[in-house]
This record gives sequence, structure tokens and C-alpha cells, in this order.
Amino acid sequence: MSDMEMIFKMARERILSQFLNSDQEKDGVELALTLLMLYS
Amino acid sequence: MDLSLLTQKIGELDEEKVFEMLNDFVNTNPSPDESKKVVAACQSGMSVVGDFFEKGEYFVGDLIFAGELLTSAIDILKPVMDTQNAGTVGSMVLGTVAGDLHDIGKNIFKSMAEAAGFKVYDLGIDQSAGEFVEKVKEVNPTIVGLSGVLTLALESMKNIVEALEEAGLRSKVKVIIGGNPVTKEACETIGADAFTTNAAEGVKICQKWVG
Amino acid sequence: MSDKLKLYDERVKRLKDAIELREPDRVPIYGLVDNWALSYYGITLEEALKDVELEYKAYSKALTDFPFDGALASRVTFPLNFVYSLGGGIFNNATETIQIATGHSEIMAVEEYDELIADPMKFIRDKILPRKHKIFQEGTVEEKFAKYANSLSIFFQFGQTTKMLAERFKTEHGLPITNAGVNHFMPGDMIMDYLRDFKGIMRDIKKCPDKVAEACMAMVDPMVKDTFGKMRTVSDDKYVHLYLHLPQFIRAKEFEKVYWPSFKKYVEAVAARGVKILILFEKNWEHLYEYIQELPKGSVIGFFEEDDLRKAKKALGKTMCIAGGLKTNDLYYGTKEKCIEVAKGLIDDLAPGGGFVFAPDKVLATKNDAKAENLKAVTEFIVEYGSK
Repeated sequence: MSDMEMIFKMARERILSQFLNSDQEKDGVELALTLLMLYS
Repeated sequence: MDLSLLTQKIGELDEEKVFEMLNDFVNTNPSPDESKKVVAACQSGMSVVGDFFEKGEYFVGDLIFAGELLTSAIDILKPVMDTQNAGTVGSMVLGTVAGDLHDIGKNIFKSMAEAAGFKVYDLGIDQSAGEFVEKVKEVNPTIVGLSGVLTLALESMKNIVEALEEAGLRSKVKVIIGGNPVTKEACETIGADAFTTNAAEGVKICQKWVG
Repeated sequence: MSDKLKLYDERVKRLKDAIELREPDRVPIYGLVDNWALSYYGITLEEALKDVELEYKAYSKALTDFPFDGALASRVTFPLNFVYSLGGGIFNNATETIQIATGHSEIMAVEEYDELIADPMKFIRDKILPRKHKIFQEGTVEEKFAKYANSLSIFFQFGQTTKMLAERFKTEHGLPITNAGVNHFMPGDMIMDYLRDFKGIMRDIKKCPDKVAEACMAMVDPMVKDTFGKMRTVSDDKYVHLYLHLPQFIRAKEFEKVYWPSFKKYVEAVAARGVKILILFEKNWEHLYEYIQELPKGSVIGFFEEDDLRKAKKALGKTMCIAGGLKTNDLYYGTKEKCIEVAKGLIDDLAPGGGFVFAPDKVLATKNDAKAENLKAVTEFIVEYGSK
């Protein structure tokens, strides 16, 4: 697993899961963040 | 070396053919005089590109590709060019004006101007009036080139021309402005001598001034 | 229902009628306002980023001093604090505008197209992001994660605040902020601005156009997913915003090959779900009308910068709502009378039959994009003259 994959996994488990329920929502936030960081 | 074919191929942005022709030429161990003619043919090719751009057949992407092509062409020719004794047709101070970070157009213009024999002092981006004045004082150029893409560049250009006047330098140089927002009215308000949105045309204007 | 909510619904409807190619009760006026709001109020970008209340005051003034029916954003458009927390990013904010620092965007090698095509999001996440952002470059995974977690909290705060500000504009001012957080570039623009940079993409379009085209198509699905991840519900007051950058620089045939198919696919996917799309067609698009007239009818509001709007309406009026018309050059350097004259001509020629929205020719980003008294005079004129 790449570092980035690991970091995203940790973020998903430790942060996103605190206020998002569905996998779909978490996927959505990850996607949004990836694109935003590309645009930054 | 078929000079008119070279000019044509550069105009067509036929990179492969141009490199082939130039590499063959270099392998013949040419004289600096012969090389000078080849550089001139490349420069004519840029003029052709400029014409296509003016007609609306070429777009900025083509100008960028052409700029790169020209830089690579000069690189191939460098070993057989007489860069020590090369006289220059004139010198210019060039920069993107304060508040603006765009430089592609400036860079294209720069490589075309250098191919045409100008010595270019490129200040870079986001250059203030003070920075322009200082450089002009230092190198005494024939021409000052101001580049910008955003509307705010027009204000900066005006400031720079005013600063040149205040420093008593305005009458010693010709000022050309280039970029997206420049128009005839803007040119008059800013107090420049010429304006262009076409790098090749800009070089032609500069050549007229020194020629 | 409160006065403000009623006003809000009126304005939403006015814009909806125009976009759906009907004639509204009067010519709508769109607030294409960006950082200009800051200098109008009298604060700097730095001050705005430090104080949300101040930022809101500035944008409130800029967006309500003039009779706009809708606006692009409730605040500074980019989450710059988030960007800074990643370790800097590609923007240079020494000027009061948000410009990409030049020559810093070629971070993908031409050999990597196949990887991008195979799985765009994975490639961007695993290869590109660490090249761009300092926090992903040094330290252990735990250390990197800790920094990222900090950035995330800033990101979520930005998202929440933006939603809250849009609500305030609705309830306090009755002004629709059409921004739903979906501010996209098309795949071709993304490759240019964030992966291959100007020189790189221009070269790629000539040397490996098939790869560029394939890469653009591969990005459509993730972008559609992202769009509807953010727009859970569809409503008339929220649009997708697209900022197109690449097409103005390339030939029509090159556009057709590398950019158009993915652009068309994305817009069709969004329109199919009933969402309106606001598109900024930068520079001049006349040579591309034959393509964009195929976009879904009644779903797009197209802001044209340099085109002759009369020509644009003729060619595209059956497909999309045409917006724009007043040059920032005139708004700043011209007189009130000149601005009003231009507006009158636009209304006379473009308003009949609907499908026209008035706006400046480009986003108001800096102080010298508009003089307040000109903007006030012309917008007030339009409210009167542009009514049925």
C-alpha cells in the first residue's frame, strides 16, 4: 500500500467515520478532497 | 540547405523535418556566415507562424509550440554559430508587469526576438516600475517591452511608462506593450509607442525601429 | 413567507426562465463578482482570510449594493487557508488576486499518460499529490497523517462556513448564490493547469493527441461522481460552475479531438439530472460554435468574454442562454453614459425572446475591473429598461 493510500485509509477510519455513515458519502468526500488538492 | 524549405517547415511546425534538416546542416561543418543565414531562415519561419496566427489559423498553442521549436533549433545550431562576435541589432529590456504572473507570451516573444538578433534582458514576472527603470538605466536598451495578460496589467504598464518619463528615460527608448488586454486605446492611455497581441508581429515592429 | 425569501424565489425564477430560453419578467443581472469585492469594501485578501465576518461584510456590500439576481460566490472563492496548510500550493498571493504561479504545474511526465488513463484518481492521489504538497513529502506516515488531519479540519470548516454564508445571503438579502461547491474545470483544463502545464499540453496535443483524448475521457466518470456527491439534491437555485481554459488556445480540430468528447459527456450527464450548468467561455469561442450548439438545450448559461454576443445568440440561442455584454474596460475606463448605451443596445438586440442575462464580460477580480458608479448606473438602468 502506498503512503498516500495509507493516509487516506487512516483519514477515512479515524475522521470521516466520525460524522459520515455510508461508504458512498465517504467515497464522495475522498473524491472531493483529491480533486481539491489537485486544484491547489 | 534549402533555406526556403526550412522556413516553410518551421511555419508548418514540422518538428521532425526541421530537426533532420538542421542536424544534416550542422554535420556539414558550415561557416558562421552560412549558419547566420540558417538562423535568419528560422526567424522567417517564425514570421510565417505569426501570419497564420494573425489569419486565425494558428492559435496560442501553436505559438507556444513554435517558440519551443525555435529554442530547440537554436540549440542544434549553437555549436556552429559565432556567438562571440555576433553583433546585435539592438537590445531590449523585457518583463511581465507588476501584479501579473503570466509569462508564456513574454517567453515566446523573447525567443523570437533573440533569433532576430536582439539582446534581451528578461526581468521576469511581476516587475515594478522601479525595477524597469533601474534596468533601463543600467543597460541603455533601444526598446522596452511590457507584457501582461490581466486587466490590471494595463495600470502597471501606465505606471512604468510614467516612471520612465520621470527618470528622464522615456525619450531614449521605444516602448512596446503586449498581451491579452492591450488595444489601441490602451496604448494611447499608457503612452506606449506600439502594441501587439502577436509575438511575431511584435518582433517585426521592433525590427523596423532598429532597421 | 418573509420578504427576503419571496425576493429569493423571484430571482431564482427570473434566472431559471432565462436559462430555459424563455423571456423572464425582466432581463436578469448576474453578479460575476470575485476578489473585486475586497477592494470595493476596502480590505485585503489576507485580512479576509483571517476574519470570516469581515469577509462576509465585504461580499455582502459588493453583492447587495447592486441589483444582482444571482452571484458566483459568497466569499473568496478558493479555500486558501486549506491550501496554505498543505504546505503552500501553486498559488501566488503576493498580488491581491488568485493566480497560479507560472511554470510550476508541469508535475506529470508525458510517459505517465497510461497510468493516468488506467485510474485517474489513484494516479493523482498516489503520484501527483505528494509531488505537489509539502506535508506529504517528509516524515513517517503517522506524521504526514497528523498534518493532513489538520488540513482536513480547515477544509471541513471552510465547507461549513460557505454553506452558512450562502444561507445568510438567502435569508438576509434574498440573493441566490448559485455556487453549490461544484466548481470544475473540464478534464482538458485539468491536465493543462495541474498536470502538464502550458508548454507540456500544447506539445502533447500535437505529439500524442490520442493519449490526451483518452485521459480526458477517463476523468469524466470521477468528475460526475464528485458532482453528485456534492449535490445530493437538485434544486433550481444551485448550478454546476465550469471554468473553461484550454479551448481558447487550440485549433478547432484539436479541440474536437482531445477536449470536446469529455466536455460533452460531462455536461450531458449533469443536465440529464436536471441541474443547470453555468459556463465561463473564456476569450473567444466563435470558431467552436458548431460544437457547443450540441450541448443539452435549456440547461446551460454561457458567459462569453470576447465573442460578439449578437452572433453568439444567433448561433447558440436555441441551445443555451447567452450571458455577458459589458466590457470591464468600459466599466472601469468608460463613462456612465457609455455603459448605459452599451446596455441599452444589448437589451434591444438580445432580450426579445428571452435567453439573455446581463453581466460584465469577465469575472470582476481586481479593483480596475469596474468603477462602482458605472456598475451602479448600468445595473439600475437595466432594472428599469429591461422590464417587460
